[in-house]
Formats: sequence, C-alpha cells, structure tokens
Amino acid sequence: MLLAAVMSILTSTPATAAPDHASSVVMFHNDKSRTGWYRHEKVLSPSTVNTKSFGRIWSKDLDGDVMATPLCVAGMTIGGSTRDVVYVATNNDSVYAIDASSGGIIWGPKTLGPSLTNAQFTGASYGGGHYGITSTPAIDLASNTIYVAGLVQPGIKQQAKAWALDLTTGAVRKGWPVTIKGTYLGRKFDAGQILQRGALVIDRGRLFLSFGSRQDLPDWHGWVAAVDINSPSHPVTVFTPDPQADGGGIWGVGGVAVDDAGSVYAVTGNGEYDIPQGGHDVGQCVLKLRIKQGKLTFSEKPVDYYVAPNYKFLNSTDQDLGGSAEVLLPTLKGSSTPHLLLTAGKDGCTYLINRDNIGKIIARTRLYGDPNDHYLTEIRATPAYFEDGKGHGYVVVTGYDPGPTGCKGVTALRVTSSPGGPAKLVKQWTLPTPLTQPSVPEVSSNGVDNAIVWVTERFRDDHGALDAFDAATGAKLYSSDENGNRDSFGSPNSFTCPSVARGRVFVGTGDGVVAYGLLGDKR
Amino acid sequence: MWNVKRGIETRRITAVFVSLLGLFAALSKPARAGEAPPPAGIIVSIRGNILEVQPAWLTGHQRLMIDEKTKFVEELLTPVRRVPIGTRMVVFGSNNPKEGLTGFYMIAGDLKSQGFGAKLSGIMQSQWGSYWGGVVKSVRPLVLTDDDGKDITTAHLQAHVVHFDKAASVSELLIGTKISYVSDRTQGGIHHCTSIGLTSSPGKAGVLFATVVANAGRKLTVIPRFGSTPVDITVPASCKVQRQVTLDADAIKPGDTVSAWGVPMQGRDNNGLIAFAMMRGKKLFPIASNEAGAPDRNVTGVVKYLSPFTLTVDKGPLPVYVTGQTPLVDFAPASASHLHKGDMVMFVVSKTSTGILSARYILVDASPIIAFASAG
Repeated sequence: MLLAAVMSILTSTPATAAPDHASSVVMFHNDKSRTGWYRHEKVLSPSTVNTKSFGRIWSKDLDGDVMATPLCVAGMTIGGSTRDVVYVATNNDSVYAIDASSGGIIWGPKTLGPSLTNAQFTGASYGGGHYGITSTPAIDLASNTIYVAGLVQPGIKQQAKAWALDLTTGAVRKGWPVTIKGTYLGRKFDAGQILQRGALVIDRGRLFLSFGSRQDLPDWHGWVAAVDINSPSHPVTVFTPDPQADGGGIWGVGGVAVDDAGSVYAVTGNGEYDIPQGGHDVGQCVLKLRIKQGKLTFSEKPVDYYVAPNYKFLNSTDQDLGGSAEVLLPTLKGSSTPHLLLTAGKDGCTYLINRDNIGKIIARTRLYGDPNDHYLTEIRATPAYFEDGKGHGYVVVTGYDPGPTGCKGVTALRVTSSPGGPAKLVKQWTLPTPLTQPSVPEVSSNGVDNAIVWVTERFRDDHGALDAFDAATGAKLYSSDENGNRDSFGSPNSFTCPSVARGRVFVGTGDGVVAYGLLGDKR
Repeated sequence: MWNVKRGIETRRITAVFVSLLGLFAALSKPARAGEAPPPAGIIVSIRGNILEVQPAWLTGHQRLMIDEKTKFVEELLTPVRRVPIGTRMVVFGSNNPKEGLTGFYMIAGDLKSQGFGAKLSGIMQSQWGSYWGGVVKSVRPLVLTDDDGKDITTAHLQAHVVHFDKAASVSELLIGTKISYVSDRTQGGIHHCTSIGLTSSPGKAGVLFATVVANAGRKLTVIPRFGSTPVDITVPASCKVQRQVTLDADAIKPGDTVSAWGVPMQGRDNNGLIAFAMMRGKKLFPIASNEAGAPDRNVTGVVKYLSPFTLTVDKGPLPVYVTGQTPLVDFAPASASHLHKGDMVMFVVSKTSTGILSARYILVDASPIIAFASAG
C-alpha cells in the first residue's frame, strides 16, 4: 500500500518545470472561500495514516515563532532542481523556502523586519518574544510571487507592511513593501494598535488583509485593507467596522473570504453596534463588503450584515463572534438558500448565514460549551468543508468543551436541505472525548475519496499533537501522542492550522516547522 | 491537561505559595505566556466585566472576567503581635523535627470564604508543604488552638505579618490597581475570578480614563472609559489640571533631548525602559510625579539612535521600548472649569474613607495609556 501510494504521486509529478497549481497550497484553507479542503491528496488515506507507517519525518528550527500556516508549492523549480517547496513565515519577520521532502532550507531567512519585541507590542516587561509576520501569506503562482504582511518598527513609529517576494529567490519585488495606511469615516488606521492575524487572500488584483487588536488593549479598531498588487503605489483602501468606538477586531486566523463575485466577507469580534442609533459601528457582526470605484465599501443595509442579537452579552463576556472567521460553502443545489456562509463563535455556536440576505440568519446551533456558563471560549477555529462520493457536503467544526448534544472536540455536520427549503446542518459524528485546544481543522482527500480530518492539539505542558480522523466516521486514525517520543512536537501555537500537500502534513510551531508523512517515503 | 475543576482549597494554597515562589521563578526562568496563571498583577484596562491585567512575572497580559459571584477583598497586613487573641488563622510553613514549626505565610479572616472550609486539625500537608491553623491563643510565641483543642506552637517566623481580608467593592477597581486573584482558567485562556484581592496602598490612588458627562464646578460626572455607569468625581482646589498635546513622532531626531516615563525591563538578559509616555525636552509625566524618587522609571536623555530607539543618559546608552500606543506629548495649562461634556479625560483619583473619588490630577485630551502600571 505504501509503495503504491508513493508510486502514485511519483507518476503524477509533471515532467515540466512549471509548478503544479492544482496540488499546491497557496493560501490559508486552500482557497479564497476558506474551505480547508485539499482534494488532491493521493498518498495519505485512512489506510496509510496510522502510527505504524505515518509519523514525523523532519522538523526545522527557524528564527522565530511560526503562527502562519505553512504553504506548499508542488513541482517548484529553484536552482535547476524541481521539488515541492514549503514557504514558512516567522514572527521575526522572516520568510523561508524549505525543501518539503528533507526540511533543507532552500533560501532564507529573508528577514523583512525589525519585528516588534514583546515590550513594543504590548508593553510587557518580560520575555524575548517577537511579533512580526503573524498571518498566513498568500501565493500567486501566475506571477511567481508570495505576499506576506507583518509589523515592523524601524524607529519610534510602528508600521504594518505588506511585501511581495519572488518565490524563487525571496527577493522583494520592485515597488514593495507597501505601508498600510488610510482613513475610513474619519478613523485613521493606526499600526500601533493592531495585530494582523488574519490570513491574506488575493482576488482580482487585490491583496486583502484583516486586523484585530492586541489583547483588546485600548484604543483599538478592527480593519480590512486592500492593496492593489499591480500598482502597489496606489493608495491602500481601508475599512473599519467600528470607526466610532473601540472594537470590531477581525482577528480570526482565516481572515476575510472572497466569493466569485468579488464580495468580501468578514466576521467581527467584540465592539459597539449602533447602526439603529444612526452610528456606523458593527461589532459582533458578519459583514459583506464590496469594492466600488477602487474602495472598500459597506452598505450598512440589513441585507449585508448580521448582528448577534445578544451582542451586548457577548461583549460583556468577551465571547467574540469573530474568532473563527468564515467559510463560504459551495452552492447548495435545490435549496432556497444556495449561497451559504458558516461561522462560529466563542459562545460555542455555529451561525449558518444566507449570503444573499445576510441579516436573516438561517440557523444558530450550539455545538460546544455549557449554555449556562458565562465565560465561554469554545470555537475559535475556521470550520472546514468537504464532499463525499454521494454528492453530500459536510462541515467540520472544532471546539473546546462538550456541548449539550454531546459534541466533543471535532464534529462533522452534513449540509443539506429539503427540496426548495432552507439549508440546515445535520450532525453526522463527533468524537467520544474532547480534545485539548483543538486547532483549525483541515480536510484532505483524493477527490471525494479517502477524506481525513487533520487537527492539532495544544497541551499546557508545552507540547503539541497532530491528530487524524476518518472524515466519514470520525474514527481516530492517528495521533502523534501515541508515539510521542518519535512524533510529538514542542511549543505549539494557538489558532494554527496544519496544511496538507502531496503526502505531507506541515505544522508551524513556536520553534519552527514540523513535517509529517509516510515513514518510508523517500521522495 | 489543565484541570479547571480543581478544588478551591488547592487553588487558594497554590495561589499563596505561587505568590512566594513567583519571584524566584521569574529570576530563574521567565515563564511563557500560557503557563500556570500567576495570582497577582496590575489592572491595565477595564471593559465591561473584563479586566486586562499585567501579571507580575509573565510576558503579555491576562484577561480576567468578573461576575456577580466574584468576591472582592482588600488585603490588610497586620503584624503578628497585633493580631487579636481569638482570631482564626492558618500558617503555611515547614515542619522540621529538630527545629519545630517555621511559618512562612500567615492568613486570617473568614476561612470558609477563603476556601479553607475543612477542619483544622494538627499539622496538615498539601502538595506545597505543611500548614496548620486554629484560633490564636497567644502571639508571643504564636500558639494556635486547632479544631481538636490541641495547641500548636510556631517556633520560628520568617514572616511577621498576617494577611487579613476585608470586604471591598467592585468600585475599588481602578486602572493601576494591583490585585491578586483566585480563578478558574478556561482552556481559552480567560480567567473567571471567584475572588479578587486588592492590595492596599497608600492613598489608594488609581487612574481612571473617562468621558465627561457633566461639570458642576467642583464635581464632575463622568462615564468611565470601559464602563457604562456614571461616576462622580470631586475636584478639590489642589487638583492640577493640564491638557495633553500630542507631538509627531517623526519630529524626533538624533540629538534631541527626550524624557520617558515607564517601567524597567525585567529579567537577567533585559536592559532598558518600556515607555508608557515620552515627552520632548526634560519633563516628568504628571501622574508619575509621585515616582520622582525612582530614577529608573523617569529618564531624560539625548536620542542616540532611532532604531533601536536609544537614549544616552547619565549612565550611558539606554534602550527605550516604544509601544504602539506610547504617546509623545507635551503639556499645556488647562482648567477644570473649562471641561465640557464629551471631553476625554484622565484622572488620578484617590478614594476617601466614605468612598468618594477625589481627583488629584486631571489630564484633558488623554487617551488610555497602554500598560499603565503605577507600581511596576
């Protein structure tokens, strides 16, 4: 089985030097809809992923903490050698290109900093940590470019910047970096207030970035920014959901998502909501933004936003709606609500939203946490989506504490509807026991076959684990803790996401990056 | 896996001993964010039911949530010799067969409310060491009568004060207040507080950021920056009032004289000052005036480098860490009588014995200062 799997991918590797677009991972959760579905996996399957044949194949310490999800370009030619290349960004404002099979550094660190120290970031008087690139970059294979964003402090002022780097050499493209600045409804973007945790996304020649706060330290405002990647000298367009009050952080690691029509979706955290009073603040909301005449715009109409009805309670208990970002689901045929968005909150609930009329929510369903508890931090992970061979679509949602209907750790729900009826989510499976701080899930499959759910856990003793579950049943296939000496990794990060590409799984850690794969795979 | 269901007694004992051990732990190895929660810190912001706290020896901030069940106590330190006979108290320490009992930490008060509901009987053990308790029979030597009627003599005292808890109010929470806390920690990192202890300090001064609602001469009504309930603040004639003028950071060049108010970096490998505020020229940040005797917190020097920002002070080069929200300011005269509805104001207030907030200092047009920490 192992040999067959390896031979399969060897024979599928193109002979040409052009990167394999289809099987590359070029942005967080695989696409601008943030589905988290890698459907080109020919090596890893429920029959090959187990403690005996699968495990850690290499790890690489880098110059900083890796909060970004590693990206992977398949069949990348650098220096005359064609191979799969992992691109990793660190909190030291550095970017690396790493050989996916060996962990050897191809180029890097390409350091774009100086990054911020802990002291500069929050005023903390201890520790030597850094805050630089905290979000997942985005790759444009057509232009052979990787876009990254980070914080720098070259002098007294802190700055948020975006860079375009040559994928082959790491060189900064001409005209870059771009400094993020701008004003929305009188509120000026202030890089000294923000954490740029949301993953980048490219659409129609624009690079979108999202921003949250630094632990809600005042003053702060959430932001979305769009950079013209073809004319980086053009002014950046910005939007803040809370221009008049603190809040509205867009801090979910998934960042914003973009649909086929170019509409931009964001979910905000705690903050004021005062549209009914004539204000412009939309904290604890799901938002649909548009680019009009080159600028980010928000209509403030109910059709374009949903506000949690209990937003005041969510605010007072720090139960952000925006912690998990959003996933745009593929069209649900036969439903009266075919265009769907799913998000989830710290309150432990999923929110199924009709993208054609966002204000009218389809369903809010509690999966995790005790509803009588006032301090929930249940879901802070972007859900993933996949389909089976019967044409059914599923979402996978990870959460912390068990919910009232028995959901634990990871739950798969089928996306369905009655003919002509609204969409609904039907629980398919959940785990028998909770996980410890489960990460953003990722699903790999070979088309609609052999689907696997990948999740990392973060333990308080400073070690992390990679888990794999059969996506059809929820059965555990593998956990690195089962052979901890060989497979577990140290210094796990919060809110991360493993990435899967061509037989390997990559995990960013507090020390660098770790790769998993079939133990006999010598590719 | 962190067990959030541990008993309150264990947590209380843990908190007490972590208090004692924290300094040593900090000196040996700065803890990573996300490790076991420290029991003490300084409030840097208050928003609704959420307190943001700078822990005493952790990198980064921790978020505490309070609710209607959270108990607020003020910690008072009383010399052992002044503890009234009959007081019920507990001693934490060591039990050496040759030297007898040595007390490290002593706590008194309503023990059940502090989590010591169990019977006090002889020398008891926890994972942290020995403890014993009972009703004070004598203070020289310290003899306690336990619940079985047996007298226990503490032969040696390494601490000479007893910690008493006095009921306090949520209104005592001000930015800059040092607190200790007993909490359940969720997996997500927020600390749900069952008890918050306010550390007593001279004058109980704290900082309040607020928006003016009404001005009645010697009394201002304000809405706290992170609250929704109006608060009255008296403005005595002695209160100094100034207006903050924000300067452009790009105007600072090497060779300029700059003053900074902040907190020294801590840890063996760290050197420098984290700046809460910076001023052009030789100046003292107004609310730091009571720290004038602490030269390591208020410095004036000549800009040597912009990156990394370094001042040349009397002792040589000093790295100054400028946060994203460190204001670069100057001060202009102002008057409380000119305050209007909607003005953003920073108050340094004291709380009188009758609970009235009295302003010592008012800074108009001030925004909340990140990581304000009056006590370091």
